[in-house]
Amino acid sequence: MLQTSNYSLVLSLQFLLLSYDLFVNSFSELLRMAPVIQLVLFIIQDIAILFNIIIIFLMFFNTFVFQAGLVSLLFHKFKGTIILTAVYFALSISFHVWVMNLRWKNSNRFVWTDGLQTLFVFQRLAAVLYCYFYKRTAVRLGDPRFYQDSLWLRKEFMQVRR
Amino acid sequence: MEGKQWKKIRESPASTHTLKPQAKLWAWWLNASLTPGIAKLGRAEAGGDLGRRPSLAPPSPRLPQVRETSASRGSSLGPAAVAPRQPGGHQAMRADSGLGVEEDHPRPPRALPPVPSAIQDDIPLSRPKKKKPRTKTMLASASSEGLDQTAVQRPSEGSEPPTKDPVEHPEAPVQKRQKKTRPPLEVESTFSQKKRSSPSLLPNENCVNMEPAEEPVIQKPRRKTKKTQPVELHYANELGVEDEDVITDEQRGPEQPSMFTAPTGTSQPVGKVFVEKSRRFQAADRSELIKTTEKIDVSMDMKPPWTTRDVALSVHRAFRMVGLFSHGFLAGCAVWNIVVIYVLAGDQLSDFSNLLQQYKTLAYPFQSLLYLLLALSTISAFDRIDFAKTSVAIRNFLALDPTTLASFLYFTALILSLSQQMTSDRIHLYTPSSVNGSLWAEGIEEQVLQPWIVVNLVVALLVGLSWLFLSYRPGMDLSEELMFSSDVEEYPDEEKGIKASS
Repeated sequence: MLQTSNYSLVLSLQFLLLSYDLFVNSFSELLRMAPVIQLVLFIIQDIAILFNIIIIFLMFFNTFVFQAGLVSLLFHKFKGTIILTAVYFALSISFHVWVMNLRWKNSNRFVWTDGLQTLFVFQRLAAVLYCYFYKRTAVRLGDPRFYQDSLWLRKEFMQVRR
Repeated sequence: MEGKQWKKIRESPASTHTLKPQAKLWAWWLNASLTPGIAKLGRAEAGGDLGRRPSLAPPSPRLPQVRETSASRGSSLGPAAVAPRQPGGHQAMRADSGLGVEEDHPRPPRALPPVPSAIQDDIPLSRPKKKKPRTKTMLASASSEGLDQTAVQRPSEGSEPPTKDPVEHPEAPVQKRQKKTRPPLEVESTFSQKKRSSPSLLPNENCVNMEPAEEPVIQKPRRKTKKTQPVELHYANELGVEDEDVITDEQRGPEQPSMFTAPTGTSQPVGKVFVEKSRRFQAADRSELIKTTEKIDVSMDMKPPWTTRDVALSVHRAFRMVGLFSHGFLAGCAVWNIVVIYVLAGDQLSDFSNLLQQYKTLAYPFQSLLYLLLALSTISAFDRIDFAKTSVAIRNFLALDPTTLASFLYFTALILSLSQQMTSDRIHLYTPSSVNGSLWAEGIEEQVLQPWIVVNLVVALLVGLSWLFLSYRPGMDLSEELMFSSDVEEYPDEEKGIKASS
């Protein structure tokens, strides 16, 4: 069974990483006095996303559903989060690489093209969706039903099998 | 009959074993009977006490066995030596049991004074052996006890002085022997058994005759009563003891509890309660204990355990509060932004250069803030409609649910706002067209700024509308209702409720 203190700690860590992600997405364009600053911010942001992915998977592994072997049920329940996180991680890395590649020599240069703008929009939209889905999943994993056998779990399992 | 009994005794291992000490006893008694000096004293005491004896001292159940063995031995030795003592023994037995058996079956005398050395020798022999040897020694000792008893009882006859005198003499050696033998016995016996023997001595302190009667009580501790009694009965049957000779425990019933059992009284309630704390029982007052338990109960009632579910719920509610704040703040910011733009642009949007010059420092920070607030508001709005359940969200959207509409408007505003990122950066890097490398060529300002102002206006409108929609039902939160309940079953009910309310 998941301990309340442990869960609180994990949840606060997840929220911290999410907040950092949101902060960088919002204000990275402002903090471009030197290209290194943006580079560091982007690297940390990508690591934060990776950390969040690791944490959420560790939380999955900790559930009774996963330990009982009902991985498909877990995936079915949180497939939105898993897919979106992966997409967002890919979009973030590609956007960061692109932007840093363009701004490395002159950080105050106007670098926008239609392609970059499109990627930017998708990356930021994905960020919002990722933030929503990830937060929802993290909160939902606090449900004690995921850590014990129950009628609800059996019904869910039957629904997935259909 | 006696012949048969003798046969039985010889067959049984116990009887063969008892012969050894008794042979010594015989020898000793014959010597002792010749010494008349001490006997006079003994006779006087024994004769005086004889009348009281049965009532005071409960005869041991081992007596019959002893009688049988001694009787058989007496027959083998010859009646002449033992005959004078017979009537005394009968008298004593009558007094004990109240049944005169000897009139019908005159038995040869069997009482023999015990020799202290004989028993002392016998005890160490029996010790190393286990069950059977112990019972044998028991028989031996019992026989000696029996002999003691008979020896004490004999003087009551008072008919034949020469024979009485020697009878009394063994009394002194017997007491000596007891003193000698007791220490090893006590060492062997358990604590409880010691307890038993001590009270029996107290009431009979002044009574000399009681000493032999207590002999079984002292000697008993050598074995466990539960085991030995059936064995004794078995031997008694083997030896062919008559029922009359067997004195059962019933006769000593009234006295036994005081002697053999711990004093039983009705338990009285005590003010203290013994509570086990860290593997030790510690005394605690009843009233205090009740108070503490009550306190614990109260505290348990007041503070239910904080589960992960509660943590998740509290976090979710906290975020909803942040979202509620961001909704209003975003709406205000957007309105303020569009007002500032229109004010700076002048009448009919004629003064773009002024707008660019004044607004270039504000453009990017405001864009960032707008994104942050829009992101928070969108997430919060999605939380309210439980966007992850797409089918529910679509259904609610088609039903024109205000909260769902608001979240949709937020998302649209977000897309529009993000699409202006390039223009915002261009405004941020504004330099007059006269400067080399300027992004703003002559005449391009209106072409770029016109759609940007319109988009900002739309964003402000969308955000304002969303805020209005959300404020229509600020308490609505489908995620909280569905996420932490059994969402599969309760979901249709929830939707019914929403429809009914709307």
